[in-house]
This record gives sequence, structure tokens and C-alpha cells, in this order.
Amino acid sequence: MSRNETPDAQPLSLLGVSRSYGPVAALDGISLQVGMGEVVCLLGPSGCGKSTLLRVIGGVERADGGTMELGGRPIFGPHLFVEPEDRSIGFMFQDYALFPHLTVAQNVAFGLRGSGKAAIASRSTEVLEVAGVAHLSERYPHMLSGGEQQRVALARALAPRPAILLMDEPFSNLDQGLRDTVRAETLRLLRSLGTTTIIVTHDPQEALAAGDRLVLLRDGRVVADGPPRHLYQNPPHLYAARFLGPGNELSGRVLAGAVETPLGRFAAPTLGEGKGARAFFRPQALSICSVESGAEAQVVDRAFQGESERLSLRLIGCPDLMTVDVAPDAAPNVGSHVGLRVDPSSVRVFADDDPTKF
Amino acid sequence: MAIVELSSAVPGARRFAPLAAGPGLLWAALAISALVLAPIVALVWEASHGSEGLWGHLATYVLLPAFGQTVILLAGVGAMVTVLGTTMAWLVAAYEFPGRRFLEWALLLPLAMPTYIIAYSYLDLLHPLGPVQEVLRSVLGFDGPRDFRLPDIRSMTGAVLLLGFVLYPYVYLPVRAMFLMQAANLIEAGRMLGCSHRSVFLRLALPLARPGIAAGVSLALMEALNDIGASEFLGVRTLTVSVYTTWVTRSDLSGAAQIALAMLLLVVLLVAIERWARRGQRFAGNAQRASSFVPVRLSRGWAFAALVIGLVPVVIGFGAPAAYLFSEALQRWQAAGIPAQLVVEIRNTVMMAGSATILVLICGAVIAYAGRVFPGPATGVTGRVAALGYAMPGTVIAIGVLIPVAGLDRILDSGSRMAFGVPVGLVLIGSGVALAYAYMVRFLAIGVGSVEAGFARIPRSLDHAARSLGHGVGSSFMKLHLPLSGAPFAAAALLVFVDAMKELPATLLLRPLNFETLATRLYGEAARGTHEDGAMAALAIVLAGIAPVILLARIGRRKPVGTP
Repeated sequence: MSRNETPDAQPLSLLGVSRSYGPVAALDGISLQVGMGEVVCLLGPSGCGKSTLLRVIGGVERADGGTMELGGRPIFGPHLFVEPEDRSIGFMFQDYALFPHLTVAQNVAFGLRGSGKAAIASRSTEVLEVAGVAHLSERYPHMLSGGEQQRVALARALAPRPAILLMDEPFSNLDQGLRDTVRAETLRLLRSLGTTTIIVTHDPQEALAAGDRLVLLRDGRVVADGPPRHLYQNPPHLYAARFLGPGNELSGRVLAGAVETPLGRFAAPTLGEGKGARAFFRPQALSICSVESGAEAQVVDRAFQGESERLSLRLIGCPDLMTVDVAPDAAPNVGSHVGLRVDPSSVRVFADDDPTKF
Repeated sequence: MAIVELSSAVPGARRFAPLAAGPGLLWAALAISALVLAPIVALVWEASHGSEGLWGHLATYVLLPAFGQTVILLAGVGAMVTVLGTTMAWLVAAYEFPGRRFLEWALLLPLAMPTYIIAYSYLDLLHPLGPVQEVLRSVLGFDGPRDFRLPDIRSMTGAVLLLGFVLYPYVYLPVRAMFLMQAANLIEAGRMLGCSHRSVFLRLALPLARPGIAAGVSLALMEALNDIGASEFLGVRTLTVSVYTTWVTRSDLSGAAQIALAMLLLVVLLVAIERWARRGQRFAGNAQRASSFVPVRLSRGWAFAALVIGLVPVVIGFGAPAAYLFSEALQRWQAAGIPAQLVVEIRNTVMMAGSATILVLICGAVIAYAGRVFPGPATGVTGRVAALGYAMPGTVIAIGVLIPVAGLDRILDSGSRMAFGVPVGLVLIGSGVALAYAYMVRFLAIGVGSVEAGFARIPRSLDHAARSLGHGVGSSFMKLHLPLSGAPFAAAALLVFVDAMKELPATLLLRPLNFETLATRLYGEAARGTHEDGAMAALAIVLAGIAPVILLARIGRRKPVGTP
């Protein structure tokens, strides 16, 4: 694979990028490095600034401060603003933004300029084939299904060989059944092409599944950044832990380097003695057993989920509700008493007054 | 394999034509706004430099009476268009009778009849020796005009009636739309709460339509204020007429500017009244809940009465004068064919209206596109300034344009004399540039409005997609916005062309010497008292004016998005 950038140049590098709307800081000093061929998921609740960040990188919106480099070339700085058309960026929009007055082939050719007609035609055909929509090239966008539109939009964004591909909620317009297959196909294609990609999403499931790397944003700031599996299992703070998936929490106090809870003592070596703390663990870390071999709890509710059954339980002597997934045929009845056990290696302890607690 | 090929980027495969259209676009928008503002600034400047000795005379003997006459005219026309427009709108919206669908659009036809043409037509139709009075006399058994004659149409009452009958569609159109779209649910609720169908009109429909009435009346009054021909033919000395005579017969530019400023004050007052009348209300076109308004089916007698009532404004405001013009034009044509003069006038009209259309479309596109590419305070101001011209009467714009352009012409002339020893005369006025400029100022709002409405249907993401695919601001416009806005551009072109063609006051004041358009020819004939010879010109204007009426009727019939 040959690239025109020098191998050590980061495809994208942001330093202290900010953007305010009046008194509201949508981006509050974002710094981010994206490596060659990396697929980065920008995740956060609505209003966290993730879409703004994508638009600022794309140049359709101007940042207020900071610097940006793309493929080693500065594209934004104190006295520098490279127009979006001069940035070599592929952008895929949530609504796909296909031009309604152009055919699929013309849409794809829209970004190919400066080379000969024959070169443009062969390049269009090439990307359309790769995206699996070559047979639609003479159709107009309104004649395509949602999945087809998505693939045409992808082909159009990739056609000019952008240095980076930016995708804004690219799968949210597809219905649930289609979404997972289209996402998997798209990512397979992007990985096989080695395309450096940033995907914006508000769906933690999608972010965990899609990215090589997950960047969690909150109030215009990066609050977590790492491989999805690592962040899910070792969240740096309670906010990330809660945002990335369901979990159970038990509060307690730090005594002799550990926090005491009804489910056991969990080591908290870095927390101050006597401070309030919270133990966090995923439902999968919890299992039910006989009352004698675990902490006693009463089943409060059960929700059938198809392949499993989700139980809500109240620990005796503790106000917190616990959630656990069990096989449907093994589920105890509501009101019955069971024992609860947790895998201590999956438990993370966070201080109550943690500055990163949100 | 294709996949491997795809990822190998060819250096320089993606080249860009550096297009510095961005900042240029913003400057162009600012320059256009400056052009629109220049006449107002010139008016204020000229008015403040007026000869003081003359001002006292002007104020006492010209301005005050003219102001009074204008206010009376506006009040009369305002009352008349309100009553006529809302009752007609209610008639076709609330009742079902044979001919209703025809009336729905036929009631718009008087829009095609410029005020000066209706006055011109009725001067003849209602002449003591004209057809109407002849018929009346023979029916009533009188021998001659000495025994019986109708009150003279050349009066304030006549002016109010005639203007009212051609300007009421400005109220009818928005009010009918509001009756149809907005009031339906509320009126159903009202009926279930015990309102009779008739009291619904006064208690619910009318108050609900208040914003539509306010907007429509203010538009109608702007037109009434703009009118020069009708008022003059009918002997009403309005401010517009005074501006014209002060400049044309007395050559007192400062005086004309002072009266024009007084007119501007009246416009500001009108706009303020409109805002006040709409206070606390908005056009909330609630498209989702489009439960359609079910009209009441009328029994045979009432249905006939409804049809007759609905036909009255159509006949008075359009049918009778159009028939008169047609028969007069036919007689002329049979007697003398199409005069060569008329061909020249048509060519002049098409040329002026055509260049105005092109100017307005270009400037309108610049303003609208700048607003889209650079949303912010600067383009907010340029957009609002661009809309100013439509509220300014043609005479006011003409005097405002005349001041700087005449000054520029004098400089050009003396410069040419000094440099080449050749006097060039008044090039800008003589070539029609001044007139095209005035048309641009007056009709720019139509261009900006239509193009903006067209752009609003293009999602922003398409702009961003085009930019990220390597197309600059200018290239995006040519490849994306222009092809996607064909219909709005065409609609704007049609409206501007016909409006410019009908425009009389600015054309009268700024046309080159011995340059006649259809409208000025008609005015000249009427001023000389040789009405009949203008019939062909008038008919041509009316026929052209029907095109935008058809367009409006079609837009009015189109259902809001999302209704079956």
C-alpha cells in the first residue's frame, strides 16, 4: 500500500480546537491524533459537540481557536482557514446529501475534477463496483432504497481518494435490521481499503462494535479515549462506565484501602481513607447462586429478552437494585430469594468526589 | 484487485481550481445593498439642501393638501379592500356552489389590471356619452345626458372604488389561504361549542385571519400609494402626483425630494400599522393537522346569489374593462392594423423589462446565496435592505435614483468635454441605465424572496457535500443551487418581468427622451384625452399581466406538503 503522505505524519492532528456559540462552548479545547488507517468512533450524548467537531474538521464550520493538520499539512490555525473544498476530506452526511438532480454515476463523478473524462468515468465505475452499486449508476437518488443510498454516498465520498473519511451518524437513517449488516459491510470495506475514518455516533453499541478506537466526548471535551474493549472493561471514570453500557453500582466507604459492600470488599488503593466510593460492575460480572454461597437478594422484576432474561434484584439490607442476565429457563420467580456473587476482577471502584465524576 | 487499486492514492489526483468566489460574493452582496440604499440617502441629502424660500410655499400649497388627499385615498381603499377581500375569501372558502372553483381563481384576475388601466377604461366606459350611461338611459327612458347622468367618476369616491376593485386580491389571496389552512380545526371546534356557521365568520374566522388581512391590506396600500395614473386621471392630487408634477413641470428636484420623503414617512407608518395589526400573531401554517375545511352546500337560490356576488368584483375589476379594451383594440386593428409605433413600444417595453429581470435575478441570487453561504449579521442586513425597495413607491425611487445618476451624468459629460471636446449628454439616463437601476431597486425583493424560498428547499448538507467534494462557493452554485432552483428562478423572472412592464411612475420619470413603453404611451394618450388609441397598449399589458395571476392561482391551489 503506497500513500502520498510520509509514513510518520499523522493523517489528522488536532490541538486545542474550540468553538463557541455565544456563551456555550460546543468544543472546549479538543486535542486528538488519528493514526493511519485508524477507524475512530466519536461518541457522546446529543449536544456534546461530536457533530460540531466533525464539521469543524470538514471545514463546513469554523473553529474559534486551536490548530489542525491533515496529512502533515496545516488546515486551520490562528491565521489559516483552508476552505472545505481544498482539504481533501470525504464527508458522509446523516441524510447522505445525494444530489437529487444527478444520477448515481454523476453524483460519484461530482468530486472528480481535473482529470480527463475517461479517467473520471473509470474511477466512478471502480468505486461504484467496490461499493456494490455499479448496477445502479444510471438511477436517480429518489429511486434508491435507504441501504443503496448509503452505499452511493460512501462511494461518492471515497471517489476523490480523501486523506480522511468523516461520517456523521452514517447508519442512523437505516432501520434496525438493515443497520447492523450495512455497518458491518461498510467497516469491512473501509478496513480493506485502509481508509482513515472518523465516525460520529450517539449509540454506544455502535461505537463499541465499529471503532478501532473510541473517543468519548462530554460538554465539548474529550473525557475518555482508547480501544473500545479496554474502555468498556476499564472505564477511567463513572461517567464513561455508565455511558458505555448497563452496570450495577454499590456505594460504600474506603476502609484500609478497600471499599466494603454487601457483595464483598473491593480494593481501592488510590482512594483516600474514609472517603465515599462506588463499586461498578457490568451485569455479566454478576451471577446468581444459592442463598448460602452468596449475598442474599430478592427478585423484584424479570424482563424476558429473547436469548436471556434480565432480572432486577434487591440486596437484603441495601437500597440499590442489581441487574443480572440469566438463561430464561434458569430464571427464578419474582419474590424468590437467591444468592448473588460478583467476579471481583471485573469490579471497578470510583471515588464519590472524583473530579472526573459527572 | 480493485480494492488495492482504490487505496493507492495518486499524488495530485485531486486538484482544485482555486476559486476566490467566497469573499467576492460577500462584497457583491454589500455593494448591491449600497445600491439599494443610495436613493434613500440621496433623497435625504437633496431634501435637506432644498431652497428654503420655496419650501414654505410647497408645504402649504402642495404637500399638505396632497398629504390629506393621500390619507383619505388610502383609508378608503384600505376599508374597501378589507371588506371586499375578506368577504370574497369567505364566500369561496365556506360555501359550496356551482362556479365556486371558477371564482376561486377568477377573483384573482383584477391583479392583472394595473390601476392606471382600470381608471383609463372606466373614464370611457362611464363617460356621460359612454356605453354604460347610454344603456342606463335607454332602460330608464331618459333622452340625453342633460336629463340623467351618473355622478362623475373623476372624484375621490371614484378613485377609491376603482382602486379597491383592482387591489382587493392582495387581501383575498392570503386571507383565503388562512381560511383554508389554519382555521379548519378551530372552526370545527367553534361549531361544536355552539357557534352558528354565520357567527363563526365574525367570531372566529375573521380574528384568526387578522395577520393575513394586515399583510394584504398593507400590500394593497403600497400599490395605491405607488399609483400615479389612476389618481391623476381621476383628478385626485396624491403625493405621488405631486412629486411628479413638482419635478416634471416645475423642475424643482429638492421640492420633489421633500415630498418623496413625506411619502416614505407614510410608508413607515403603514408598515408600523401592519406590525401592530399583526401583534401577537403569526402565520402558523399547521400543515400536519390539515383537516380540510368543509364548505357548506348552498341551496339553489342562495347558490345563485353567491355566484352573482362573487362575479361582481371579477366583472368590475377585470371583465368589463378587459372587454372594453378588447373591443376598442379590435376596432383600431380593423381600421388601421397594428401601428408601427406599437411595435417599437413593445420592443422598448420588452427590452427594459427584460434587462430589469436579468438584473434582479442576478442581484437577487447574489443576496440570497451570500445569505446562505455566510449566515450572519452582515448578510442579515443585506437581505433586509434588499427587501426595502418593494415598500418604496416608484416615484420615490425614481427621484432618489435621479439625484445621484443626474449628478454622475453631469460629471461624465463635463469630463468628456474636457478630455475629448465632445459632449456626451446624459448618458446614464439617456441609455436607460437609470431606469434599469430603479427597476432593480424596486423589484429586488421579488428576486431575493423567490430565490431564498427555492434555496430553503435544498438541504444544507448538499452544500457541504459539494464543498467537501472539492467544489468552491462559485462552482457549487453553478452545479448545485442553480440547477435545483429552476422553478423559483422562472417564477421570479415572470413576476419581475410583468411588474416592470406595468410599472408607470418610475418609467415616466426616468425613461430616456422620446422613449415610450406601453405604459408611458398609455399614460400619454390618457393625458391628452385620446383614450382610445391606447387600447392596444393597455390590452397588451393586461394580457401579459394574466401570466403571473395563473402562476399565483396554481401556487394557491397546491396543497401544503404532507396532505393527501
